This record gives sequence, C-alpha cells and structure tokens, in this order.
Amino acid sequence: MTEAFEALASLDKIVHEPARLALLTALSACRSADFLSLQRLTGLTKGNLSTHLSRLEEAGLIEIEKQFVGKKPNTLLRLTHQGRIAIERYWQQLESLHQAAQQWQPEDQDKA
Amino acid sequence: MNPILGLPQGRLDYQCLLVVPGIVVPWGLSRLIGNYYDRTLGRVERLPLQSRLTEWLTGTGFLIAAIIGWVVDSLQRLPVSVSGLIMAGAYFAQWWRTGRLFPHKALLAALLVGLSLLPLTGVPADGHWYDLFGGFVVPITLGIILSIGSVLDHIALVRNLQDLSTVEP
Repeated sequence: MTEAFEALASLDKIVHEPARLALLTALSACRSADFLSLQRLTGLTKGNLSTHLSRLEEAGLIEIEKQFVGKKPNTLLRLTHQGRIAIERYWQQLESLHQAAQQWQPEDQDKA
Repeated sequence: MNPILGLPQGRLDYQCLLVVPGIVVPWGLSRLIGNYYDRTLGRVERLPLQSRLTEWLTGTGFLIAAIIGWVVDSLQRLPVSVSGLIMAGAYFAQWWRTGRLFPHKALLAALLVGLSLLPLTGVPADGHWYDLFGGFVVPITLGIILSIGSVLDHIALVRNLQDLSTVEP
C-alpha cells in the first residue's frame, strides 16, 4: 500500500492541476472544442484559460489552432496523441489508487 | 374543400404541400438554434463514429422503432399509441443512461405512457388516437412534447454548465 501512496507523488503535475485536469478531461470526450466552450465549461476567466492552455500546449498535450469562422476569430483546441495517453494514464493511476485504498488495512502497515 | 385545411381541393391536394414547410421550417430552426448554441456555449466537435458506436446504434435503433411504430399506428388502429410508447421508451432510456439526473425526461416518459394508453379508458370515444382530427393529433401532440422536452433539455444544460463552472484557477 505504501507504494500506492507513493504513486500519488508521481502523478503528472501538469495534468493533476484542477483547471488543467478539467480541460484535458473535457477535450478527451470530444475531437475538438473551441475556446468559448471550454470557458463556459470550466468557468475560468479568459486570462486564466489562456495561461493553462499555453502550459498544456508547451507540454505537448494539446494543439491550438486559430481560425476564422465568418469574420470572427475562433480558437480551436484538441488533444494530441500524447495528451490523450496522458489523461488516460492519469485516470488509470487514480483508479488503481482508489482500489488500493479500498483494500488497505491498517494492520498491513504494522506488518510491514 | 380539404376537410383539414379548409382549402379548395383541386387536382393538387394542398395537404401534400404541408411537407414543404414541414421540412423547411425545422431545417431553418435547427440552423438558427445551432448558431445560437455556437455563439453562446461554444463549438464542440464530436468524437469519430467508431468511438461512439453504441450511441449510433441506439439512435438508429430508435429511428427504426419509431418508423415501425408509426406504420403500426396508422395501419392497425390499436387502442394504444405505439409511436407514443416508443417515444416514452426513448425518454426513459435517456433518463436512465444519463444517471437519472434529469427528472423531466422521466416525467415526459410517464406523460407519454399515460397519453398512449388513454384510449384504453374510452378516451377518445373511437378507442384510438390515430383518426382524431384527420390523423393530425398524434404528430402534433408528439411534436409539442418533443418541443417541451427540448426546452427543458436546454434549461438543464445551462444549469449544469453553471454548476460545473466551479473550477478554481
């Protein structure tokens, strides 16, 4: 069980941050989403959202595509292959931790 | 005279022309509503088909069932509305699959079951819905209930987005 708790520390910090986790989880459920939809979904301000998206882009987890819809600029976001793997691995890690925590008995620690 | 529309009935049956607004109006409305959602809620592109095969199969299955229900309703004059029951089943399935979070779907399903089974109680007197008002009562009633369901879906969507918007920066 100690290993499971240690695994908590090894979670990807880029993904683990709540706002970025929300963004990656939302993007994992679709092919792409625009800036406005992510802003509505997460409730982040434009500035905060831009900062988090830049961090995710720098980490290679998302792609940012700027385009025009009619005459209006539109920012389209999608997960990269690496990003999709990262978010799936993150949820698998949490699931493993959850299962390990459910099976954990205080005596296990005493024996160890 | 056309008994339903009150229009003169000549070589061209004016009732057939209802197909035109029946296609154009929903198409125009769907474009307007789609643009409204894009402007206010943003644009989301769905996952490729292979990632949502179950959803596609469910939708296609419902469409086939709805067509069969409609044919049975129009041919058999049963004391229940089969298309109403199929739509009730679709609402109930949506309510169940979405984690029983949207009570309006369950309420609409119950309402549709009630309306579909009402002829069993002798209302209307003919014992079935289909012939009432020249066969228009079933599509109009189903259309009204679908519209109410869509408005309630929209309200639930906006409320859920507000509830979700709690992520701290």
